[in-house]
Amino acid sequence: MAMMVKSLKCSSCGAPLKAKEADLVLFCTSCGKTMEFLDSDVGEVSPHILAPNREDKDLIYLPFWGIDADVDVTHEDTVGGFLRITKKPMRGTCRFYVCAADLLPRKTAGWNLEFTRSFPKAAEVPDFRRIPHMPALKSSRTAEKDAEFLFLKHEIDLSGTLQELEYTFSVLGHELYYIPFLRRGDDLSPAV
Amino acid sequence: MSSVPDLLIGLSCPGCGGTIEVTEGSRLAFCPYCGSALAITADDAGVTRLMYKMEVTETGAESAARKWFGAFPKARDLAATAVITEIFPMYLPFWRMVGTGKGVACGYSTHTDKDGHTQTTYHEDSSDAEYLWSVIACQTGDLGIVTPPKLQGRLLPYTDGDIPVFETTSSRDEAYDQADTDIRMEAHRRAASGIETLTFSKTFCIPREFSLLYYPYWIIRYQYRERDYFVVLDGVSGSPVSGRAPGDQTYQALAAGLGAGFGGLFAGLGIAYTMFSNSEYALAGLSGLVIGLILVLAGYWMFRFGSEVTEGKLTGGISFSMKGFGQKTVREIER
Amino acid sequence: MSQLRCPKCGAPAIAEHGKQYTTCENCGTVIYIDRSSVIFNYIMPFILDEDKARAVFRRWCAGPSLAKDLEREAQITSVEKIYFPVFLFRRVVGGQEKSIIKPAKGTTLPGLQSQVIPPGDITVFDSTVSTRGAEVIQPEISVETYLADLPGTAKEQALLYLPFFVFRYRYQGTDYISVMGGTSGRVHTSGFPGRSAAPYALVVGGGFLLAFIGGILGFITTPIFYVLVFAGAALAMLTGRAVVRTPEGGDNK
Repeated sequence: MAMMVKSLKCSSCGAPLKAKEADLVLFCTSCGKTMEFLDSDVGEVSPHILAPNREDKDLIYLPFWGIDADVDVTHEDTVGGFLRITKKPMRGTCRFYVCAADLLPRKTAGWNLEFTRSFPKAAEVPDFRRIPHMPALKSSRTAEKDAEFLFLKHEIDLSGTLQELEYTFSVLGHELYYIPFLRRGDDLSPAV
Repeated sequence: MSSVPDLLIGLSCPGCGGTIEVTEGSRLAFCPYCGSALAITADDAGVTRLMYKMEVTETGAESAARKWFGAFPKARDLAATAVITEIFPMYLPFWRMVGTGKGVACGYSTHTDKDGHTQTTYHEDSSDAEYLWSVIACQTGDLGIVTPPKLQGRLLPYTDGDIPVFETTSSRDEAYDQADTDIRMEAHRRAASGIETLTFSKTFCIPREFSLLYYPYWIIRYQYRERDYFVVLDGVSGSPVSGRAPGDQTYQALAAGLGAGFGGLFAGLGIAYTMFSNSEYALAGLSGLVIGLILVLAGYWMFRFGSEVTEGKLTGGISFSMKGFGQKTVREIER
Repeated sequence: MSQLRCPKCGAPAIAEHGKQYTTCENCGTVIYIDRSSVIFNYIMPFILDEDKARAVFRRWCAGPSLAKDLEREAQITSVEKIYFPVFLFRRVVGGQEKSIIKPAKGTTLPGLQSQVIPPGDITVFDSTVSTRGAEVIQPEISVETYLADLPGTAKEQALLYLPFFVFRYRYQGTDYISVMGGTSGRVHTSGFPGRSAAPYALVVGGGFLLAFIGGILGFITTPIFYVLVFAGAALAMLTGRAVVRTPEGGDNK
């Protein structure tokens, strides 16, 4: 089988990129910049690492894509329901958080929705400070579809039963977040 | 580096020359020796090719085939008289996609309550799960393999020429599109279940991996009364997936007799009960008629076509195996 | 046309089906193969030999839909091994790759016009490939005949020789033709001496009727009539035995 192999180089300083395990996010050991793997090349991305709310030996960082998109709803029809006070519909420029770790949707779906609705207010730290991090295996491009699904999921979670919806969803950009989680056995819970 | 990209059979690291293990479906690999990050472009079609390891030995395949020979309703002397003329391994290509299917469906259902009022129930639902999709990538002719195996066992990178394979005859793009459609359909089916009238729906398929897998089989040809029959075994589990075998004349005659006898008895009793019983449940006798007709038709079928017994999706003979029955191309992955 | 020469050293190189690159075994140069305008010749070798094909044919003759004495009475007048040519077009249609198969020769033989490629391993057809006595049927339809009507743009086109056995046999004074795939043994036929379902239906129908009457009479009059049920079963079993019996056996005596 014909397979072509190309060494990846940091787009900023040109040093070869190294890693120990499969991860779509690569950290340049030479200049310290963070690179994201896109199809066959890399592009620079600036990660936001959130400070954990406690010290624990079982902390782990999970990668999330923060997808910025412009949501424009042109027609909507909802049956029943009360005033939308508790949950506000998402309109205009919105930020969606999509977990990039290799976990099943039934695990990540709740966090994605939770962070998208209210992102934790936590200080950013410059590095991981010896806390391990999970590799990102979902690319920012595929996360765009997850973001659109998040918008729809949020729409049907709103008060009332959604019947009709016409909208446009345009992606504006993306950023990388590392959010600390507490690992207890197989369970992961946010530590922010 | 020259202008021609480095082309490699197997994979070796351009940095240190070490052998790299391919991560399934990945376009990104890491050298375990020097840690270099490497972009991988699979051949022009962009397909990762992998193969499952053959687990069943030739001896194992032969004994599995002999066990199959002895199973009802094949000719009773088959196990004793069949002469195996050929046993050879064959790898069949399958397309496979692993991806997340997401769906949102909105709509309503109506039903009439006992007062005659029409009630409308409004629905809004979603589904979100990871699926495995696979279909066969070649025609198998009279080997009759159409449903993908369980795709279990150990995966290895596929190298050309190492194993006997059947040529892939369906195109990658068509398979990819089919996978996308099938996964979205499944996501939609789950989100929209119970909704009578749809007013809004949207589906997503987020592929994680798309590959061409070669799955091992043993093809065994054998002769019985100078006729050539065959059986195909799963190379990982050793169980028969398709095959042809001679039937047994005694079983055929028995089927005719038992089908006619029991069928007639049930039908006769059923009719008589319906017509002459005073019970208020007299009509229940009609179920006896139905059972009787089913029995006689089953007996006739085995009697008429029982001279050949088939396994898998083959025409011509009778088949008792439920293998592949109701198997779907899309399955949810549980991890 | 499948002879490919390395542009650097001139040594013959091997082009594999469906692959865009090949490596020269002599100098190691990677050669890109433009397949959009040339036609490569491929061949699919036989998996079955003639003896096995004859045995497959016997098995097919003994099948339940074919005349009961066909296996015994059919006189095989000839068995031909042929390679039948088809064109395999890989086209890009609306950004999608599609495979299209067209026969490269007109024929009335059953199964050879079908638009599928049988299972098998395709290899390059050059002077080193032995056809082992099989007749290679030369294409009569030119590739241009199809090119004009095909959708999309060409990615690859190939002439593919597929293996078949052609069986001609005579049964009760009539000649028949069956074509068998040389790899899987699948039999294609346009007509064959069928087996009448009437004796089978008669056997089961007769037995059923007797048992049916027995069931009714046994219920409404006296249980002695249930004997008819056993009589029906026995009748179907015995006459059924006679219907399925073939002279060469199947009995375990």
